[in-house]
Amino acid sequence: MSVATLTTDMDTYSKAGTISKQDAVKEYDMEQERELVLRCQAGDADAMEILVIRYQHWAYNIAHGILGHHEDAQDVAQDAFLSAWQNIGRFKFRSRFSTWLYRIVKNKSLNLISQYQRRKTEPMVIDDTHPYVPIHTESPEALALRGEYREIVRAALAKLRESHRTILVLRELRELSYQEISEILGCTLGRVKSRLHEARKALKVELEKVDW
Amino acid sequence: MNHKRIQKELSAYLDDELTLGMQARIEAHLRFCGECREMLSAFQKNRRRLAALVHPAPPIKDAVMTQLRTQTATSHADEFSRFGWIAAAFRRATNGLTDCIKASRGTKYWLFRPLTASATGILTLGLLFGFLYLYPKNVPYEDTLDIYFGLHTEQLSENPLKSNVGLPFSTVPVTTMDTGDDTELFRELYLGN
Repeated sequence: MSVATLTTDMDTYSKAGTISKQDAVKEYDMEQERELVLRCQAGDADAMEILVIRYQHWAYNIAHGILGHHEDAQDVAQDAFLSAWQNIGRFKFRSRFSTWLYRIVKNKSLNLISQYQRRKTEPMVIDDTHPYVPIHTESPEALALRGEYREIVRAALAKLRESHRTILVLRELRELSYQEISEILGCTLGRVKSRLHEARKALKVELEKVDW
Repeated sequence: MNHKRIQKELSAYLDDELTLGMQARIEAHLRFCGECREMLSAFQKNRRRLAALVHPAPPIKDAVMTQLRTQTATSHADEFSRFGWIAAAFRRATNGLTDCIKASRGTKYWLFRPLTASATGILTLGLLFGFLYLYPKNVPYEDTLDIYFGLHTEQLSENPLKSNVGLPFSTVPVTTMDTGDDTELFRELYLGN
């Protein structure tokens, strides 16, 4: 689509200034998304390709935020798109497609975590030949100097409860509204507000532990 | 509004998810509460740190699309194979049923709720099959008409006080029934000529 066409469409959408330009863009996006989903429901794989291009970045980042692992996040994002394609017929436009997709990503990520937790309960061989378990001995400052800010934050995030981590990822990484978060998590707006506050407090505590 | 309550609202204040009145109250509180100011600034700092975790995603589009097209081709092939269409039909029926149940969950009409709807369906089917099973079969044409005409004619011609209503139809002597034209009789009785 050319820029000129897009601009003309936007102007039509803004209805001579009755709604703001930002709202017009959002509405236009949603309309386009709706058309793409309808095409997907009719079995058009090309429409799905556009949706994949549009949301792959966020699907991956949300999975990565929850799981903290690159390979797993990539697998989960791929799986989520395949699930979305298989179940696109069930999508009833009660929410945005992106919200629906993020819910799939979140569920798949949490499923993977519970799978790992189940596997952890299996007996494992403990190598106790070493007198101690090597741990990070570098101070946070040294890590920061080496440009490993991300690792510190990621480690703190990984220590949080699953529900706290998920809500922080949805809000801080993707900047979703409370309404969208409540749709993804399937809880009330009040619960989103209080859980987000608890999560932020927990993260603050974790980061303070490493004196950062 | 007390300090604890304000603290709980700080997160929503940061996200701009509060009403204007509430925002004003929090701003007023922040002017003299150092603890809340410190907490808010920590939240803001951590937000920036978390935002830095976002990085470009690896190109997953090609992998997804390859798998997706393969899956679609396989499912189409299944549908057109010898018995694959049965599996496909079953899958669709199951999906449809699940959708119906899911859709009915939120409805306010009690009749469309899963339990009520299934009970109504079972009852309707029971009534339908019961009616079909118990419906009288092979009823002779004459016997059916006898109920309305034959017995009445017989009673009139032979013994008006004698009733054969309780008798089985087979014992009614059909051959002896007066099947003649009653027009004259009625004319005499009711018109008197």
